[in-house]
Amino acid sequence: MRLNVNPNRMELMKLKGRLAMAKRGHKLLKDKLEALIQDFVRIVRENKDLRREIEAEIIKAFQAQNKASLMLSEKDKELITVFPQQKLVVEVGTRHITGVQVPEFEVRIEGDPYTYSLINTPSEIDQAFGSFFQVLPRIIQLAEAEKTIELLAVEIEKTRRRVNALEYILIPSLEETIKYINLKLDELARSSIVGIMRIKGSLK
Amino acid sequence: MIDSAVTPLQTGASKNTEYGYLIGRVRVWESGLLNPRLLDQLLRADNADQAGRIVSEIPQLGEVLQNVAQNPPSIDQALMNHFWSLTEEISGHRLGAKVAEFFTLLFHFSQLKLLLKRHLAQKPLGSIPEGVLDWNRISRYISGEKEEYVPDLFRQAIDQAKLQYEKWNNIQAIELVIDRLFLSRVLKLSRETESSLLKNWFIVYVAFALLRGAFRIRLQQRSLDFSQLIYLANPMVREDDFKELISAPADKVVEKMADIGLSSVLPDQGVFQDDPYYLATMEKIMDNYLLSMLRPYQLNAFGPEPVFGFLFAKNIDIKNLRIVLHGKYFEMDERDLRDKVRECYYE
Repeated sequence: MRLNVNPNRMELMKLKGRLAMAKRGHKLLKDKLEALIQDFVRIVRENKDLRREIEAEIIKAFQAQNKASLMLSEKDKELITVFPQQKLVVEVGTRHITGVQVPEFEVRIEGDPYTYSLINTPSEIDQAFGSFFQVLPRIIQLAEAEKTIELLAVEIEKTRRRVNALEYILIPSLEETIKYINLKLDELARSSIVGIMRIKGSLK
Repeated sequence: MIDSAVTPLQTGASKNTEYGYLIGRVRVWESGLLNPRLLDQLLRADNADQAGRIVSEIPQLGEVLQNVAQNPPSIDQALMNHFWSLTEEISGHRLGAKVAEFFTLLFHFSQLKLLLKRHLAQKPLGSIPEGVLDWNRISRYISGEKEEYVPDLFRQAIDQAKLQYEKWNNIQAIELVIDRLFLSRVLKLSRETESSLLKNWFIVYVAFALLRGAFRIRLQQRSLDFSQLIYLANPMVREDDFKELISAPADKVVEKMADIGLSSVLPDQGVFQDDPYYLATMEKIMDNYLLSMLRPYQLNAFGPEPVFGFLFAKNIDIKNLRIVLHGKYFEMDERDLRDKVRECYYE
């Protein structure tokens, strides 16, 4: 689509400048897009493995918890959970991946997970607690990875739209407009030559 | 706790008559106990509804679970209320109080732990049960009103538990201290009981509890000093043995168990594993062993053994019903449930 500009040399120069800038921007954005996609694919792959491992661990933890809960009355369950003395400390920061700000969580577990009787509780409860406290930091790690993937996906989408806008709209329309101005200017030059030739002919 | 009102002058014949009355009551209640056939039917039930229908046909239990919402907390509450109402009924009898004391102690110590933990966690005390003990007084004592009258046993338990909690800064210290006091009361019961079977049963119960404690301490990788909070001198497991069971390598544990004479409770004889599922199997063997000690006396016409046996069997039944009904509710595999259920009192 041609831009609505006056076909003169000044506009032509301006448009040529914009075209050069758009081409440079297009190249840079395309490089950024490639880098983003590379990071995205790498993190998605890592995340896939992490998710699979976590799912297996969660299943193990829930199985142990289910088996333990079969042996516990409601009162026993309250006794086990009424005073948790373990704390999960999450420090939230940010880092940059190819110019995208993504979250970074540092997880630390403090305190003792075992708060219950040794003789009135089933042993599976140790397995359940152990597994859950092992998997919890990894779930937060997974949340970090999934949020990073989400932010990278948004950035890729945005960059791709910009690249496409430059590649399929701005650059073609600038080129078309430049071509149009060039044609107009050539036509103008030709008509002025014809006019001069006519004046010269009438003077003879 | 409530002391037996039996005087040394009381003749054996009159005591036998009184036990005869209690045993008569037990014979009626026994129809509500599970047997292997019923347990198998429950395990083979396709779902929780079908299991519920089977339970509804069991005398007494059917009435207990009638009009109870079919969810695990409601079922559990109904079953526990049923058990405690039976225990209270037996405790209400002059000789029954001594027989049921073991179970009453279990309830009281568990309630005490809950009150202490709620207090330390600064949570509301919740509903306080009614009964022989004035739990309101005990909660006031826990919250610092030292002038409140509290039975010596509970005063001692609260003071020691608080002291050890401050020392170790670990809530599990409270559990271990109160468990030790509970076990010391069980040993006292073993000294006081007139029945040689119950004397041995209480001693074996304490030994099993200490073994469970020792193996769990291994699993949780606690220090030896911390483990001392639960240990108490008893006829079967000496202190050195207890420490060795905690600290020795796995292959030495089997030897040590053989030395103590309790290797039969190990699931795979000759191989000990620091694994929760292995220990869960061991716990099941221990429960079955305790029940098997009482089984030969179930048909006695006199003495405390059939009454105590019934209460323990009921306790195991509640466990089994919880395993099956909760397991069916959560659609757990039948094999997993079979691995967990304990033997029945009647074979």
